[in-house]
Amino acid sequence: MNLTKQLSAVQSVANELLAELRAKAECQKIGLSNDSFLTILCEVGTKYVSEGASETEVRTFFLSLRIDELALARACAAGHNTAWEIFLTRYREKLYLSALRIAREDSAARELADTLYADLYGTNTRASERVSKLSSYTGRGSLEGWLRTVLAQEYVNRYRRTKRLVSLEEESEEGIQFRAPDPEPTPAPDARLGRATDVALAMLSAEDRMVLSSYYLDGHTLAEIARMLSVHESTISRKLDKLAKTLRKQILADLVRGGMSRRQAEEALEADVRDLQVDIRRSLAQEPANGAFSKKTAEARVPEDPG
Amino acid sequence: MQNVPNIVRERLRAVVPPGDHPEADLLTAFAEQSLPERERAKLMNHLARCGQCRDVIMLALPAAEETRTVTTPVRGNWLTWPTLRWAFVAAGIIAIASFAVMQYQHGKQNATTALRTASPEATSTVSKNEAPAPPAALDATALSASAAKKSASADLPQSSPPPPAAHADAEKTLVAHLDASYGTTARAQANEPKRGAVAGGPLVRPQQQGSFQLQAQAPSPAAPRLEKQMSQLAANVRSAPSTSVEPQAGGLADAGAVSSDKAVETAEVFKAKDASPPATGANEVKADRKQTAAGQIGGYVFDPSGAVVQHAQITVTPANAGPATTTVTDARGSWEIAGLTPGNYRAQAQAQGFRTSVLDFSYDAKNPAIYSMTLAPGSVTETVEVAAAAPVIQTETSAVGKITSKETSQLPLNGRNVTQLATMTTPRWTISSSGGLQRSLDQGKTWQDVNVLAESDASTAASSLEVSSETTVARAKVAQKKSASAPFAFRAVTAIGADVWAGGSQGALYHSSDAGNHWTRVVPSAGGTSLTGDVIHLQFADAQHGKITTSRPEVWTTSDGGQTWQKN
Repeated sequence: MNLTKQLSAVQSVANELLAELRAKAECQKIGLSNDSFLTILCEVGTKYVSEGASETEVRTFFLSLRIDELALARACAAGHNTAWEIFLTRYREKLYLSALRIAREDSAARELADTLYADLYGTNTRASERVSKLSSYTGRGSLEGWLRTVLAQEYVNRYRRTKRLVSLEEESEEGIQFRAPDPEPTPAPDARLGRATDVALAMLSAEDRMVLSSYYLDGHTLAEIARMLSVHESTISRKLDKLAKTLRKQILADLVRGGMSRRQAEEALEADVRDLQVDIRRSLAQEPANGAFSKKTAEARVPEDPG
Repeated sequence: MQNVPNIVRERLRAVVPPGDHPEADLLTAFAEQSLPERERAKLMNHLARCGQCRDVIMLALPAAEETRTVTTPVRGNWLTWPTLRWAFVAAGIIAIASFAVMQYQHGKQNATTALRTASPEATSTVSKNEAPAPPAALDATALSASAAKKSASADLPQSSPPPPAAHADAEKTLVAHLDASYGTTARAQANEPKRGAVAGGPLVRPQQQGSFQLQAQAPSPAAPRLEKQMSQLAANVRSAPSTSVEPQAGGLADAGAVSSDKAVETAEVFKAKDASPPATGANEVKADRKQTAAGQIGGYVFDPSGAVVQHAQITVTPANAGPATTTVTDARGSWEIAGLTPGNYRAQAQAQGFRTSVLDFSYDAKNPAIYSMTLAPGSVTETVEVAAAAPVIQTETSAVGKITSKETSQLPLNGRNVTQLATMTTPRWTISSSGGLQRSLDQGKTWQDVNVLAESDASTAASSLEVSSETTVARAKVAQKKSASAPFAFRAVTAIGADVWAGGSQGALYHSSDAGNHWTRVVPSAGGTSLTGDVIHLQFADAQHGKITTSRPEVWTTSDGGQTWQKN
């Protein structure tokens, strides 16, 4: 069985490196036993190392882990007091500071940090065993970075939940449910344009699409995107410029190949696509308000038919 | 920034959101660039479709702090063309500069013929000489030039690589004469472990264990600095009296034939700049080149254009986390620190408007060294602190500045009244036609009645100072109660600063030591008699010595400010 083979490969490398990694992780200081440490290594190894990996790859993988932080986190999760004291000294303040940076507002930040703090400590119990979020830390990235990411995830989850609620309320306040039908139903967007765009986007690399989405959909700044990818801001700026030009060129080329004239293609590209939002909402089917909305549009169209 | 067509935005938004989100640890590793390529690509695919995970990564990025210039050396092939190119330029400049030196050194240069037979090998003889370091530095560069130009122009008398012995000697001398080290170039060459001729951009070195790392420089900023350093080298060479300079310089002169136009131009410029009367010759001050004594480190701080940066803060921290030493660059952009123990250090250069530059180096007290750092300007994404002093005066509202009369009367003014502070002028005194005492606080423009009997009210009579929002000048509003009519009429008043004496009918004599805000009745008496009669004249030379003339006539004098009196 591949899984067994993988497990044994991981185990043997882990055993080999045990002494070295244990020293690096200062396991003695934080109270993590040999066996526990070995178990942790095997768990992390089997999780991330691919099945066909060679021993060298497994070794490289283990050596790339943040072993000391992994050991500390797992020792905390297991309830070792020394480890917990060390963790508090190093990370407690940073946790609150990061929460403040993310939430940007004191009370929200405190709530966010306190919630995570409780999760890390392990106030939840499962089958009468304390469950700490720190058990899910695997040492791929820094512990501090992991704490920030977990805070961010919690924040994004909360914010999106709240946002969805708010937007519903806003909609009813704005009277969208009772909006008058459009006097002239807009024509369906040219399907060829959508297809050409999809093709052009599919030809881009994942990184390019990510940069485009970050900038044009999420509204992040060039500086933020640059920091995320560890490049210079000007690199992102140039990339976006180039992508915009390339996309335009390719979409036009595709439309012309499909039979449109150059002028028609350019007009189609420049056409106002606010109407498209109707279709997008329908296809995404994320907001429940969609049902009423699309029905309204259908009703608006009905009188036109006989006419 | 070019915009994308709306359709692109829509189709980007329309992608099917992925189901499984990667774990927090993977997102962290992605942001920290610690994922292997395969996993990174997989995650990138997810991020291209998942706005939620993109948001998470953005939020989780660490705070944007001042980035430090990465001091990683450029590893690579030494003899690549860009490196060679700058070697040519450097050598050419040296040659031109040396040639200029020779032009100026008249009467001391005998061996012009030696110029023609010069060769890199002559450097071995030069090195044995007691000439100061500049020739030694030129040695190394000459070596570099010759080695680099092995395959180049045949103008060099000998294009073969220098014999190892000569090179070793040159190296030793370089190390020995490093008290006038000319920057990291010479020093780096000294540290080179018997490599071949050290061709290449002098500012770029591979990392060696125990040796310092240099800031990676793009060629263009390096060149002007290099030329500047070389020109200053030339200035020092000019001051060297030894004839031994020539053979080597001659060699370089020949080598200089391969110099580029740019090098010629620049050298010309520097030649003109560094030109000085040849007569001063050997006694010339060593240009403005920093020299560090053994046991001392120092350096320069430049900006990308090559100009010096003044008032840059230099912090040198030992690698073993000992106390840091700080200093500031002077008007020439130079700094020095003495008394450091040998070891590894990190030097940080900071200046307003620039990004902090960091240089790691290994300090050996036997080899004094000069470290130059270039500061890159801070970009808009970085914080450039503009120090603003807190405003001294709160001019928005008068809430803070309101001082009540209670506070004013309790001000420690040594007996004076706070209104005196506000007035800032010496009050004037007069007697009105009806015998009333009057005071002017505005040089006589307006006069107010002063009621000597209402002293207890004066301080509470709404003398409040307000710092109004319209003007920052305190306006004293002294509201005085209407004085009750005194039963006597004043006939004389005199004031010595804030000391005021007013006298009138029926022996009325009043004294105020605070410009008329508080009054005390004084009854001069001596030997059983008191002053009666009208006070018709008051004369005080100062606060202590005064004379009263009454209508009787009597003259009363005091020499202790009115505590005791003598009747004359």
